[in-house]
Amino acid sequence: MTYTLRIVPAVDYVDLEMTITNLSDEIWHEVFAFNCVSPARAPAFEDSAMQRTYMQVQGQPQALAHTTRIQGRRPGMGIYAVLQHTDHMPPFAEAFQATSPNQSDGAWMAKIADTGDAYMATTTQDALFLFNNTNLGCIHAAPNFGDIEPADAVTVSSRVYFAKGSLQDFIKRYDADHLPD
Amino acid sequence: MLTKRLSQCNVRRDIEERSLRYESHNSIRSMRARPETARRQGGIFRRYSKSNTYRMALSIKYKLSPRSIVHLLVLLFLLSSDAASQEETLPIHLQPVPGKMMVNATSPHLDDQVFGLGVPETIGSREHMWMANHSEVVVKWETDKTTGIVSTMWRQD
Repeated sequence: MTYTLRIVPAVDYVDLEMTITNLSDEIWHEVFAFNCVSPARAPAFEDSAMQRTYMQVQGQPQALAHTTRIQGRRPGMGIYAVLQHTDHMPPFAEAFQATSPNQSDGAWMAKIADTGDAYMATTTQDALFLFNNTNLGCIHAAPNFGDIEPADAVTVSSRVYFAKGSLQDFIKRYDADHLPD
Repeated sequence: MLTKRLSQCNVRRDIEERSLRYESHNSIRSMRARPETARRQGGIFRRYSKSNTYRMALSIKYKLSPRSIVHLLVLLFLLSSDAASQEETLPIHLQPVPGKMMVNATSPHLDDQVFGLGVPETIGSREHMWMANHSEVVVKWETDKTTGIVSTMWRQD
């Protein structure tokens, strides 16, 4: 395979343009990229209690603290299936043995700063599954590349926000933004 | 821009000059007349010296006219608003970690807090637990210094 990545920075977000090319002679199904976004040196986004870490459930934001966490092989890690892909969870995600019975119907995960006036969020058009790790404070929305035929290439875009505003501001903006295909 | 604006600011400079050992023409004449004066008074003139006459600026004072003060305030306001707007518009600074599928993103918009992007940590599919993993791939990054865009392309067999 070949992988091409271009990261385009803006004032309060970055766009990731990812292309995967299948150089094998077999078709690949439900290809995904496990992109990580972590508050490496952003202490305002520390949230081990997950009271300020959200995903979308039934069209509304829900704090992960109010979801059922499954203690897997590695404490602190949690997998959330996305509603339209619950039957296509990849073996990589299953291997964590930490898939929550709560499912998301969105393609994003967001953390709000302890001050309530800033957010970091990882978003994509079509997420295969969501993931978070309270040990590192990271959030993931794995973009779904779908099926890739031999010699074919698929490009997917994701947008990661590091912006000022509340959770409601993020949701309004996410709904308004049109991610490129 | 700063230089231009400074030149537009009407600062009137007054230089106050004083002389350390300045003597006027009159005092020079009186000094030259000292031998004759001494003789007339029955004395002896023993020493004649001429002091150099030169000017030396002791202090430079800057005085601002009311108009200049207004200009200066406007200038300060423009500079501060320029700096503020520049800070607002600075894009996120991306710094790839050499050799790794990792990029640090520093956000001026959020007080220079630093975020980590693992892009990606893993690529997988239904058939493969992973086709590429961050520990296996050596990444060579390119950075466009003009746009701040970072990019990479790698192959995994």
